[in-house]
Amino acid sequence: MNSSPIFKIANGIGLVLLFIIFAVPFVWMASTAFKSLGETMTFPPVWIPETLQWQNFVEAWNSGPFLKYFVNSVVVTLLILILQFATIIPAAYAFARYEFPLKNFFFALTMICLMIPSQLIFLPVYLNLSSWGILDTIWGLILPFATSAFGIFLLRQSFMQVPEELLEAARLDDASEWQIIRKIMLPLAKPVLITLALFSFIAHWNDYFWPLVMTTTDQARTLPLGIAMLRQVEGGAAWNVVMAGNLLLVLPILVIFFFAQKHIIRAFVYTGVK
Amino acid sequence: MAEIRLDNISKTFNGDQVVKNISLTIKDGSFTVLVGPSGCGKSTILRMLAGFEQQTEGDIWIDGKRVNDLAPSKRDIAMVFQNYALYPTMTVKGNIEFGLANRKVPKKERNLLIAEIAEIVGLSDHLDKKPDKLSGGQRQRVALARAMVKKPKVFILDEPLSNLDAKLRTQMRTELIQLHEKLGTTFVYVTHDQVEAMSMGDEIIILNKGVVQQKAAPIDVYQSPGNLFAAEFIGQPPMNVFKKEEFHELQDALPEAAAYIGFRPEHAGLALESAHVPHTIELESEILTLETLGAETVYKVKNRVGTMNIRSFTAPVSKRGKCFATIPMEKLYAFGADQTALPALDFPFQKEAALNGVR
Repeated sequence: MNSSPIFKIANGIGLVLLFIIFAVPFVWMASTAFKSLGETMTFPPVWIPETLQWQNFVEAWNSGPFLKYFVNSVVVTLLILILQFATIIPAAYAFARYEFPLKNFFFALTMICLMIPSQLIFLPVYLNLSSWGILDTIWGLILPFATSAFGIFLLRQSFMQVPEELLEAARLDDASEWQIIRKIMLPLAKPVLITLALFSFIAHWNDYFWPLVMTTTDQARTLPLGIAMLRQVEGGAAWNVVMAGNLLLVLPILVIFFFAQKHIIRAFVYTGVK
Repeated sequence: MAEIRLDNISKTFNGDQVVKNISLTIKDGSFTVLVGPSGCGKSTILRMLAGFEQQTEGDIWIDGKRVNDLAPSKRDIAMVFQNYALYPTMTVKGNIEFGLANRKVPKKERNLLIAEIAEIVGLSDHLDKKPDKLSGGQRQRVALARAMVKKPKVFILDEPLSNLDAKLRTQMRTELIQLHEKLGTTFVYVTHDQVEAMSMGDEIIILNKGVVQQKAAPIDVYQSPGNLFAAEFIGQPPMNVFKKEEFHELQDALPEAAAYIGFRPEHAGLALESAHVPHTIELESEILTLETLGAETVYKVKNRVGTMNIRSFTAPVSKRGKCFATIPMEKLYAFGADQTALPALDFPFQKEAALNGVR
């Protein structure tokens, strides 16, 4: 790397600019969430509200069945996580450690799944779920995501890095395949597992498109839909209330990210035995 | 304790036969070393013994039981791996305990066993540490403890010392020999290092290209190598070997079958002046390199026969230049055209000497 002072300064300025580009919308959201309706419309814009309008949050929460949305979001996201791990772990282990007929074909198929955007397949999936009669239920939001091609890929890579001798030692130690997965593979893949859980949680907690397509009543709606509906309340959008809702929506993600950022970084660094 | 018997074992990988029809018996309670260059099939034999590879042909017997179709864990063996293969997320105690817990040994008994083994290998103070907090030697001991705690009939060790530094390696070598004496279990040890093979084994099995070259006690391998490969593999530096024709002064004395002539570097001598010692081949030579190793000096010299190593404990020559290499005839080895060793050479002067009662 170039280490001349000019390069360092330019590098620093670049990083600051990037930070501003990413951070400003977020800060704006947080700031607006605490403003009065009047303050959201003044020009030049105010960054720090005169008084913090906590009632924005109350108003957002009370403007619809938000408890229902919240429970739906939690149930959907958690069940997706559980189902994904139940399918990803055995699949990744098999791809990483076993030889079986058509292994490469099936792995290629998995990789293709990774490349197809959900917008492309939502119609057939919709028709399929419709024929099962589970539209507008939380199952319609969960089952299409019961596994994750990305998860299989990432975990397979992690499992492949475990030296074969470890598995052989475990087999000599009378361990069953399930014990090998549970006691040796999974603890070694912990950073990857945490990363996968985070990615999946964030994606499905924030997911707007799929619930929008699959739900028609509050019965199965999730938080992102509820927040989006805030905009349509009483004709015009009360941006301070919408932003308060958004802040509520991202709060769990922020909290989790705050505690787990170390793991996300570590997930991409192999820490194996020497 | 168990005797191991391999019956016509072969192993083929993708049409490539890496182990060729090997039959051998490893004695109960012996310390047997499989040694050979990389790719000779020694690790494959070990892995077939452990059950990680299925032999293409032949039978494996451990303690009188045919184990061909037994899973590794049912063969009553324990293995120490080259990279130790410690479970990195478990503590030392967890590593030793894992096999016992899987065998449903009661907790109380497990703790007793672990304490006992930890004491033997000197790990009592490190039981709660993870492997990455241990030194190379300590990891090695954990691997040994993990193997020992299961009280197996056979210990399999796959180049267990190759990741240690030279000093620790020497120390662990001694410890392993003592451990073997204490346990009395059959040890099968794989290495490419002839020093380990010579110093540790009761018996060494030299392998090359999937074929057993020689199976004998270390000293027998050294003194009477079974073939050219064994002669050149064991010994540091290896035996000097030349085509018979190079020694024209010997032609009449050598048996018809001899095709190669060899001698150990330490049996040859070096002098600045020609001495014309009887029954000795004297070659006017030039020293190419000399390595001073303290107790001994290794010379590489060139003469009309070729390039040869000479090892001396007296360092008769201290700088490069011209000199005379001397090779006593009674120290020569002869090998046939198929590279197998021929009976010890029998020169007329030896008979006379024997008759006269002098040597």
